[in-house]
Amino acid sequence: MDFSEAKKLSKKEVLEYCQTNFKNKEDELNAFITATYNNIDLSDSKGGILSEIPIAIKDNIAVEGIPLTCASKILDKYRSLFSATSVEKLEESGAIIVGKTNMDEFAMGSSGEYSAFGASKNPIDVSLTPGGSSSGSAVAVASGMALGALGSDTGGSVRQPASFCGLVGIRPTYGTVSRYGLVAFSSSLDQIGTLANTVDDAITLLNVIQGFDEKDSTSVHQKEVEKIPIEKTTFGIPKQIEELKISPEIVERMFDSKRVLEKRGAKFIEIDLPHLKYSIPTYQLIAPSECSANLSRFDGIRYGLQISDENLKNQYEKTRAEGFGEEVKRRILVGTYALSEGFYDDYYIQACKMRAKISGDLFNALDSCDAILTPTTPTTAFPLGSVQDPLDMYACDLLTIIQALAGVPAISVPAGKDRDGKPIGMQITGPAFSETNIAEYAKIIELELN
Amino acid sequence: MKIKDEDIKRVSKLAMISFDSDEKLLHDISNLLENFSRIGNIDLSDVLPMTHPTQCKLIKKEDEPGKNLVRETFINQAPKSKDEYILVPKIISEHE
Repeated sequence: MDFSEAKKLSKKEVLEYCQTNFKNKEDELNAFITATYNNIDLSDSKGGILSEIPIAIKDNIAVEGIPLTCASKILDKYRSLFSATSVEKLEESGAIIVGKTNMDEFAMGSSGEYSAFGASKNPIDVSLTPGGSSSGSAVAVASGMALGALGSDTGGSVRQPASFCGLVGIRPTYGTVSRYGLVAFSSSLDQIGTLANTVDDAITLLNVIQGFDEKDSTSVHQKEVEKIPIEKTTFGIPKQIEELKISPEIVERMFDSKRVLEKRGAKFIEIDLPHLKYSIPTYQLIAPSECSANLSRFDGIRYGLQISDENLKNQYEKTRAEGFGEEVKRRILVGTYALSEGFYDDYYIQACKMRAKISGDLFNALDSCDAILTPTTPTTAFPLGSVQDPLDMYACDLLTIIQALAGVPAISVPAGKDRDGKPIGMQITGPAFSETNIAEYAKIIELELN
Repeated sequence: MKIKDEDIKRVSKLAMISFDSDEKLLHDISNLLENFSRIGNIDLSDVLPMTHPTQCKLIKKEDEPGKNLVRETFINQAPKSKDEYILVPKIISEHE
């Protein structure tokens, strides 16, 4: 059910539709950490563009009075004291918040398997991962437990699960959606994004949550960009695509997408992203470095889990060892190492210099074209438990990191299925503030390839 | 580059995470850092590091009282509290 179908029904009917799906499927799919269907007061009608629309919120985004776990044991019993700006904006638009969704712990992961609350499962086939880290948000929408969801995207965590579950996912321009109330993982990369069944719904949600916020020092004012109709649009395809480890079926689908866009009058050129191959190590040094600083606040003193000890330092160390999961500890230790004396220049600063190169390549490419077409992910959804090596898990982000490093928007849109019936996602990347344009192009793929 | 047990012990002290020799964690971190260090082989000496996608600037607000959090709501979240204080282990010894 999309938003336009929901608008034809009563608020009660829409909520019942989602709640029935929740009751029938949640035990198997594990989409939610905290579901709030039973707390909804339907008489409290605000009206607004999202009136009657049930929305799920990733559990690293604060909703006042509701537990916030980041899928981690370390936030045991913590309840949000205030709501995130994006949540306040949803509520002002009449959206019904139906709960907080499962995720990889502190948004670190690409399969949902690093959750302390167990993995979510892909509704298309429960033996598959729904992707991550916004795993539960994707599952909630794909299974009809909600009609839209907020996720967070640090290196692909909205777009990759959208791709794996056959949904639309948008990562907006950095700074256009307030991060106030989003638990910080990697502050220079984190952005709240939207997941929905259709491009129209995902962009409607995004338009609601966007806007300058003085509570976020990195917030920016939205800028108007010129509308470029498809027949005047030039797309770039990176020449490196064929050298990368991407499933041939997905590359083939990218060329199908190219053909449908060409049929509408779009032109295509080859672009060069020579440092694309360094995007994963660059990201995997910057994000853990920032996370090692951001996660130092979890000390078991003011809230959450505490493993008591008579000695304060021992208490910190024991609490954090017990409270954080394996992947979070790995990243904190890698980040602390990269920032430590003697290694800072060789690791962190070198990665920031490479970030400048990768972003420069992308900005140069976007000077010669209006948008870039690539697949969203190198593979379709993989079986739960099949990826054990952290490096193999990080490889999932091959095509979704560069946008985060540069701060530009990208949309993942379903482009049919592979021979096993698993969804394939196509990604369109644009210059800063071009969300409306790239969404229009995505709608063509949505229409022609599904 | 081989990362030694002592390196991880030192880093885990800095990160305040107690660490008992864990072969898998050591292997994983060593492997990751070795893989990531390949960007160190590229000459980027003339490149300025990019730490953020936007220029952060200080946002000035009007000096007016806003909505405050009620003390009890966050004191009650602390694992240990007494009256209006959060309890922590003693950090000053009697000899100091």
